[in-house]
Amino acid sequence: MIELLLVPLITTLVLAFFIRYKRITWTLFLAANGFVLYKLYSIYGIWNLSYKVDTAYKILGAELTLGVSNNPIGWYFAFFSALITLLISLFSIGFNKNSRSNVSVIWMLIIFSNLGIFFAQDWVTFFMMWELMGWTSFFAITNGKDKALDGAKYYLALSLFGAALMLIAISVLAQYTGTFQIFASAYGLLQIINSSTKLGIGILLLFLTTFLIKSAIFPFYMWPQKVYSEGPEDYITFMSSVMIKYGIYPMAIFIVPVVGSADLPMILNTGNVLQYTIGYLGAISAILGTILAIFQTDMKKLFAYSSVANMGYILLGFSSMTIVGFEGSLFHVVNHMILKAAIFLTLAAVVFRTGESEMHKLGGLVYRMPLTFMTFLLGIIAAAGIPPLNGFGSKWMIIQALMSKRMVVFAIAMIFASTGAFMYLFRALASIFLGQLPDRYKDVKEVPPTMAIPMFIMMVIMLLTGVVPGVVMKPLTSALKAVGYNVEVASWTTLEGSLKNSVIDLKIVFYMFVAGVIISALMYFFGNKSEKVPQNDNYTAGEYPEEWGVDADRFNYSYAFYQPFKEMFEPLLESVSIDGFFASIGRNFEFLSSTIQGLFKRGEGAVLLFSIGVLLLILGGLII
Amino acid sequence: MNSIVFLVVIPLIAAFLSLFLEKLNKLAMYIVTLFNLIFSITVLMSGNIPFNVAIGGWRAPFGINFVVTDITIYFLLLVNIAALISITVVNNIKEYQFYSFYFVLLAATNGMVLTGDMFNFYLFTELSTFAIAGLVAYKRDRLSTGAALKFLILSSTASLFSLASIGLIYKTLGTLNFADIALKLSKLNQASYNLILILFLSSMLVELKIFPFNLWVVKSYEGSITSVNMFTHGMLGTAGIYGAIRILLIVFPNMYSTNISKVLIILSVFTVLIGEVGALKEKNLVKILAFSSMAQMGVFMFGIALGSFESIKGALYIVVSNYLAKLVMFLVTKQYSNAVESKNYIDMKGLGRKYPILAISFTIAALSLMGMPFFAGFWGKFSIVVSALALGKLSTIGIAILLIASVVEGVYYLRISHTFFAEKDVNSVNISRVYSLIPFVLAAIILAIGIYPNFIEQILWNVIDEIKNAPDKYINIILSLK
Amino acid sequence: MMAVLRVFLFGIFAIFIGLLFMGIGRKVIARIQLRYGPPFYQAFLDVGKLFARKSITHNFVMDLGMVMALGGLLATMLFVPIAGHVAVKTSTNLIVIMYLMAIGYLGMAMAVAASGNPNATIGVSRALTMMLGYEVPFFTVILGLIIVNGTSSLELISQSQAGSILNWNMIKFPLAFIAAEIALQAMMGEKPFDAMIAPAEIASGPMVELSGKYLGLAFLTHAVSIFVETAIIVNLFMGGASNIFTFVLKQFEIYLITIFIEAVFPRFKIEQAVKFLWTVPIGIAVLQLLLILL
Repeated sequence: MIELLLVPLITTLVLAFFIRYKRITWTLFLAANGFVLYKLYSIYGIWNLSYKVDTAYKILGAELTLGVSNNPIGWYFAFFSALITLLISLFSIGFNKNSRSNVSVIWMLIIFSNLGIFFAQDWVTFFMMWELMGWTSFFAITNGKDKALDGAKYYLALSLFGAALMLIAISVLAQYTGTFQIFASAYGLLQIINSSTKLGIGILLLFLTTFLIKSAIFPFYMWPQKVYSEGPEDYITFMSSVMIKYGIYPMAIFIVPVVGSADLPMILNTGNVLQYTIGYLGAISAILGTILAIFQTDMKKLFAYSSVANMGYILLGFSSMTIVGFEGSLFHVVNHMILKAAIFLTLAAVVFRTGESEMHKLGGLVYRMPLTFMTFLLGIIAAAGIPPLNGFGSKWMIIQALMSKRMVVFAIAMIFASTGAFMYLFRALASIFLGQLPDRYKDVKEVPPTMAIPMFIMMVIMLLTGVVPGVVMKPLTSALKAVGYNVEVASWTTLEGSLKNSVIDLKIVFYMFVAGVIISALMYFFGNKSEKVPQNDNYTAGEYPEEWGVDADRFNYSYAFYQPFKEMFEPLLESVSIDGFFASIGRNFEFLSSTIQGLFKRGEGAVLLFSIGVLLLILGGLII
Repeated sequence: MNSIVFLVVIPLIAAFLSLFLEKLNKLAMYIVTLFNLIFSITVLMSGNIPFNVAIGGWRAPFGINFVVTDITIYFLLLVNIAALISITVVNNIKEYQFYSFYFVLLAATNGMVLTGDMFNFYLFTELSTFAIAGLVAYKRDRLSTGAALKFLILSSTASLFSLASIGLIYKTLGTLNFADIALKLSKLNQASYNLILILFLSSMLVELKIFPFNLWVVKSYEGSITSVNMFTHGMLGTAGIYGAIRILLIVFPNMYSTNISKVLIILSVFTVLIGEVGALKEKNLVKILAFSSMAQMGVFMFGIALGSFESIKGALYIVVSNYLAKLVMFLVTKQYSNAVESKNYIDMKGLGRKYPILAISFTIAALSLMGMPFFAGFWGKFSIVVSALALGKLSTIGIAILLIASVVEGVYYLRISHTFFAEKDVNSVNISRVYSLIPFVLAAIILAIGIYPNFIEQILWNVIDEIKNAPDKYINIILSLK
Repeated sequence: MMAVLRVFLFGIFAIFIGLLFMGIGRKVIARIQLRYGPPFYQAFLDVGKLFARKSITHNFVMDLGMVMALGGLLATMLFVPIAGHVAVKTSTNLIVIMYLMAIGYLGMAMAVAASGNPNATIGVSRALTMMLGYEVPFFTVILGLIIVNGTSSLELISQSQAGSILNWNMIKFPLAFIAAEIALQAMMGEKPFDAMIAPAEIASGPMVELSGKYLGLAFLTHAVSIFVETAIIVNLFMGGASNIFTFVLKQFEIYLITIFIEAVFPRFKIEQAVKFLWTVPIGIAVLQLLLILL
């Protein structure tokens, strides 16, 4: 068990030593990730593995023990994270050939902390790893670039704030339950909620806020777009696909069981108050993320908001508190990992070749980067939740769960977000890859093989998980069963909903799709043959603008793509600006800072302040 | 072990000699400091701690006495190690005044830690204050003179209060010996007790950098050279902390039953808030460190003011972490600011890429101050948080504010670290790699404690044991001897 | 082998019915507008002609997209029960049908955007905005029916209305039916919700660069989509049917309503359309949902 953590740690040191040799570091990085994946694969099913460190450090009258142990849900998260990370690290070898900074060292440290989070046995270990993740991410995001500092600072402040809340929550919880063990304290918290509701909910909300911050749920939905737009693209891929799920894991193992079994006031007999709180947060994230994604012109920001929306779906699944919804959410975690990784890899490839991430400045790249285009296409089909790719199954399960619990508002929010997803995803597709190729990108080439291979594998995985969801659902259901949930191990291709007669066989969906395409292809071949003409021939009506001494003026409709929509929603969004709120907090702190500096700079009235201090002491000691 | 007096006497003699040594001053400085350090290590190793030395053969409580217990010896080591590390950055100084003041400071801080009675403590404090004021003014420009003057005024005010409280103690209890006071204080009526405590606290808090007694801090840090900053932090600061622990916890343990401890909680929370927020917009690295050391003292004071043994342990962790981290930071600041001839951290952009060890050490120190796990500061923060939450509303609110302030701290420290590692060509800069050694070692210690707290956990429990059993143990040592 | 033949037959049938509806629709509109109009089999002639013509393409995405468009809608069609018959044995899940339909639209959108004409892209952007407009009310309606029946299987919902005409959801939940009808109008892209085509503004939008068999495929896609959408409504609100003729007749009734509205209304601007869809039909649908829930 411990080597799973030691290897990344040692690799970090070795990488730090070789930091100036890119080829060595990235190869080592890949190898270490390969080892982690292999090791995780080999410990599947051995749930009693654990490793403990006894310290002499005394807290709450007892000596603190730190421990990691193999647990099924943690394994599920860790394994798929490791799989995606491996693919991204393969991509990184090619991607980082020309970059000046080397993010691999800090990234390895993050991987270490992540494994620690998933396998932590007690809250202290969990917290230590969680904090480690916070500041290491800061350095990974900035990666020596001043431009990225603002976003990274925002992220850092939020994650430190979250960690502070969690520290308070852990301490209070330990005081009442007498234990730092995660699973034991979940039962403890349940008892606290049942005996003194206010305190219990307070503790729970502190935990929840921390996790919400990391998973970018409303009201903390701003950091992804700030961070993703500036960080190194390959690391951002990791962050958006894998790291954003770290808030979901503790929710799955801690928040959901507690909220699900807590004895709280019910709303309309469908769910308790906290359940609805979680649900509304998820619904708002899903809707807001979608609307904001539709507005973006920067492709990385667009997909950052898309991540927010997807995190919202996961929360919606949790809020149903049914086993189908829970499975659906956890399934969506992996699906989103896969599809977001695929999408961000293609974005990284585009940036790698063109250095541009504003969508309206791109266009027509399909002519030059067909493989990247295909990966992106499959990625967005998956992201839109269209069968037969992998985003569909999990979304379907979540909607099923919401409908069976009669949570109509959430179900409608989910549909709104999915349909809206279609809008922004298509916009990205059309603006980046379709349309006319600008002259400045005439010489762009397809990415080199080391980057193309992971993208290709991503395509295969997306299709595979889409048609045979069992590859994810089987480990998931086995893990849930091992934890003690009352579930059957899923079959390879069918998914089971919670309504009457709602078993769908994704294999059949796939066959039907193939059948439809075959019929339509027959039609296509049945028609008269077509001729491939350059776009110019049609566009300038066969004339040669060069002959008139002008260039062919190429343009794509991609800047204000959804202008009417934007005009409809902008007034609404202006009135609820969370970002403005946070910014004003920052400004107030800076204003305060200047004031304090002024006080200390002049240093006048030192003795006066001294006297005030003495008076305060006298007030406290003698009078009161 | 009567020879313990040498720790104070030899530096004092050196202070006189420095008038004549001229170029040999630097050598003398090393010799004396090393002597002090080695002597304290010998005392630690000798194994007959605790012991009590009555100067001139007069028994306590009537005579002057030096007491060496667990707390004393550890703080003695801290002071002397800080002295040794600080003088490594002293170079190109020819004036004998500097050396003279340094020796006085060394004697005074050692004396502060060793002494067993109130009046001597006061004397040594005064001595160290004057020494520091002289050292701050060493640069002789407008800024440093002003800073020294400010410090002098504040500390004189403080000493006035201190003297008043000592007078009161002598008037009411007829003794000045710590142990004797501790014994007799409980018989005093509440009002006099409070008055004495308030008067004494007011003077202590100046040295402990607690708001609103700390207006000297930023200016004097800004105005003085790095070695003096390190003296202020490592020697005077550490001795002050010792004083706080010794006097507040052992002499005035009844403080916790009065409202004064609550006022202290409020004041320390304010100190932290002001320190952290004040540093947020600052660009001058030295001033940032000044603000931050203020904040760290606030955290320490918070832990002490809470009064549970776990929180005191946390405070001690904070002391260790802050002690090490600030030394690292000053050393790094010294090298980097020399290299770019500016104290603005933005000018130091990119230095971390060329001299990574210094920048990494700085980052480790910063993370420790932020209370990040795997660094020494975390254990302190953790203990304080856990015990604060168990101790009622005021401390809960206090700890919440403290944690939010630590968010601010994280932002400004990591911003500096980022600047060090930012992409920029810095080929013209040259720093000898030798200077990386000490910061690296200190940072490694921070990391080691952070990963494996067992290294110092036992030591800290010894200290706390002494505090716990103060009435029996400490008092017996002093009063029942010889 | 039988299954393959069955799937093929279902596909051809849907295309045939769809084209027939289109032709009749044109005739009906012409008569409403006091014109003579083309013969009812005109749509077949058009498609035949288009497939016989040579055509131009710009890149493989256009070909892929057009094939995907028709393929996706045909696949959707195979999940819709027609008078109790489904091409293959599945649970005819409504959510699957709704999502599968999207792949057809995506294919179409991709193909026309790849043509590189800004007008086409403008058309697509309007179509997608419109989609967000009608999906929400339509889903709200569906949600009500799903909750009433406790199932999301289209077949079960249609079976639950068997017996007399009074069991039809159309009678039981008239508000839902009205909302669904309005959403259907937008779904088919008929007036007043045809801002994405708008020949006068953006030169038929998506169709602007299509020629020959590409336009033919677009026609077929439209035909299948008419078939699928009317079939869903018939199953949801009119209790399906016992045989195929009744079923098609019911579909035609639905289509006729759409055509009547199409014939007499002018065009909404896109934001007006979305605003309308998010106020009137959603309001009605939510009212119905509340009636069902409470």
